Amino acid sequence: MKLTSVEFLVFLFVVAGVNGLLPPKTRRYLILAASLAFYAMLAPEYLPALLLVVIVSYSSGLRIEGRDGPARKRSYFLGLGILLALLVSFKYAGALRSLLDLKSRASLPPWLSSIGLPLGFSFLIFTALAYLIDVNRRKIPAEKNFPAFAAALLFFPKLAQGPIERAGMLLPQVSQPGGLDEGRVTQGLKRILLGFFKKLVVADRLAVFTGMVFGNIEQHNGSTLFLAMVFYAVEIYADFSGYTDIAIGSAKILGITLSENFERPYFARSIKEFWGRWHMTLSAWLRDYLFLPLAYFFSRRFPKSRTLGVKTESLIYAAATMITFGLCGLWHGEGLHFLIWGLLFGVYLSVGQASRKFRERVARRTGFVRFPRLRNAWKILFTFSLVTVTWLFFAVPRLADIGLILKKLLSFPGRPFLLSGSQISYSLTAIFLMALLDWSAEYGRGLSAFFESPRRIVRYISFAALAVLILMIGFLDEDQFIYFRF
Amino acid sequence: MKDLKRLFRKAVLFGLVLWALDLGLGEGLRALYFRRPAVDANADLRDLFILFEKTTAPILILGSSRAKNHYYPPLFKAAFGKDCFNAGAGGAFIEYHEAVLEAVLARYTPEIVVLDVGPYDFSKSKTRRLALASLLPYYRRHPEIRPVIKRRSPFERIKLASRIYPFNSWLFTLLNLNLRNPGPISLESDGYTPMTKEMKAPQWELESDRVIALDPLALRSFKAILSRSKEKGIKLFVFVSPYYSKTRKSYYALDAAASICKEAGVPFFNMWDEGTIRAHPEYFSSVIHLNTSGAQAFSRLAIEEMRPFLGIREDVRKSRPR
Repeated sequence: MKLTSVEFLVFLFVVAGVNGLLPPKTRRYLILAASLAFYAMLAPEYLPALLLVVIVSYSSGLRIEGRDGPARKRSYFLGLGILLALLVSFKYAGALRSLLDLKSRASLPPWLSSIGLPLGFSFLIFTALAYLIDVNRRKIPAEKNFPAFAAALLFFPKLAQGPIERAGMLLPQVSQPGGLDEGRVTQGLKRILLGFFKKLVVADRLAVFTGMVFGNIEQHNGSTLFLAMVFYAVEIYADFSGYTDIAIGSAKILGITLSENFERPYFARSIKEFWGRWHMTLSAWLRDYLFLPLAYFFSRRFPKSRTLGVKTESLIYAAATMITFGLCGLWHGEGLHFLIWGLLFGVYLSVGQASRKFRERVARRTGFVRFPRLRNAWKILFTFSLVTVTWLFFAVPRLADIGLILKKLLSFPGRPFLLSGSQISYSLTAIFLMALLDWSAEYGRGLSAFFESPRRIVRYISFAALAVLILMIGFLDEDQFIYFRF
Repeated sequence: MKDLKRLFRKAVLFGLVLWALDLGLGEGLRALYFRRPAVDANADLRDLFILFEKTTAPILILGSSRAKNHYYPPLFKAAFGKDCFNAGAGGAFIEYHEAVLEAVLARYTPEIVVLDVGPYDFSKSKTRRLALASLLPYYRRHPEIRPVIKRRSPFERIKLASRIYPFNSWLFTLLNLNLRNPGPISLESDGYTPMTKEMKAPQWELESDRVIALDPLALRSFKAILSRSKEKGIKLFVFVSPYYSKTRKSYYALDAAASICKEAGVPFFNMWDEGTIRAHPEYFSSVIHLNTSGAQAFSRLAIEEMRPFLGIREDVRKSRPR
């Protein structure tokens, strides 16, 4: 059941209706049952793996809380170890299989060959890890009620693609979800509509072009590949943020508030700001549970102010950033391309941090600081270009193909291949509408005047027009969701 | 309760606004779709329009793009002395043919129907229902196709409550077709799409010799075509036209189709690896499609196979058009 399907909407409305009828204390059971049913409809074969994660993190949480000293530490590391082992074994099953095949030179049993990554598993493991870390740090108490805990971890709107929620934020809400509140339902429906628009009108429409170009790299020239790269940058954003909007809106209807995950990332003026706007729950997770502990660890190991003639602080930042983003890349998948994608962001951030003062000086000397709007526009464009290059490692898994694209971009421009007049018109319309939506939200102008108009009829017409656009130019027959892979 | 009442009021008001916009724009798109300039300027639109609204050809060819490219109507016309319309459509599956046959039967009853099938017609596939999208504009005008169209998805009936939905993704194409001047208006077409390309370096298509999982709904459609033809007294012929492929002829799906035909007393001809066509790689434009020379050669063979069932003795070669 896709989140952009009528089936999902019917499922959501039924669950919301029953939720509204139930007394508050019993709603958690409904949420749990609905989440299990949702996953069973998506990928029933992986349901045991998900339940295993829930049981391990629930029991580990209780064991950590009930102990002190080395016993607490043992329970903590055992819990983390099992969760990480599960993540690695499912995530890298393909690579492990190839290795075993190579070593044993014998074919593996079919059941082992058929193991894949359960849908949303990486998101689930990160949520579970955050829970155990927070319990160990005594930031939150361990949850005693198993159905509430399981419902929070498996909460169906966010199960497959996040946001990666913190237990401290979600558990109290799932323990006693709100009922059918008119304001929340209206807000939720608006958000779902926006998500449908981003996914069906923008992402899936652009995917037709990018899929075709990146599927036949040899056949296309530099201009076409450049266009596909730009389209892919918009596609992946619309795809992921669209699904997140649907998840947030659905949760809102059920009386639960999920964290925001995107804040118009392509308006970021630096890579650092980009990560504050893109997949915000993952960035915050990486910051709190990986980057800061690493930086703290390094700063204790290297107390001197300068190391090898360089400020130790800068070296620690660079090292912690590279490790964090390297692991972030590996979290996305087993290929080398994901590792390079992560490391590229590490390099961007480290170089950005090291060159901050130098760039300020250059801007002052050249007089660029006197044109703040122009400078902002340049920063936005530059950041977007850097990010667009990194998406290449997402769109194309083979490094040889990425090399070919970069070579073609530099040496063989030519006229772009535009598929067909109507296809390119849909794609450009999609990009224009997406940019207009984000621009309006960023600067509080443009379309915001319609969607947030004090006159009800104007608001209704605006949202109805969005629905009509989906029916008219949305890509309603095919579906792929980029982030389901993770 | 107060909350629910307010929510209900809002939903009704929003629903009304949406309904009005949908109706206005949907009707606009419908008018653009069925306007003659658009119909004339696009071969697919034109052939579909002729099929649904105009043709009364006694011989009808049904099938996918392989039917569209493999059956040469002038030869059928010459051999049997009756008009022939090729209703093959790219990417179409058996459900599509069922809907098309129902639409035709609502207007007239053809005497002969040739149905071209392949293993893909009966296999489980996500894309098979997509082909029905091209029939959506006819959903309101032709109630007889509705039962088939509703099989596209479990909630197709809800989606089709929208007037815009049947014209999804048509906006720019329709604007373009309506603005373009198509020249003299003509609805003359026998539905055949010629292919001139010759397969350059013939490559055997290396498909696995797998057993295809059969789709029960597809088999239901196939049986429906067979029984409707029998009911209406149509002489139905089922063919598997040639492939330039190494894959074995005896697909499980085709065996199933053959046995259904045998049971129903419908002639079934599996010409997948027909030697006289296979001996000529130049007859193919790709491993799955014949070009015009190939289509003519294959059509002659098909006519020869049909002839005894129709009680016609003439030699088709004598009536070949020059």
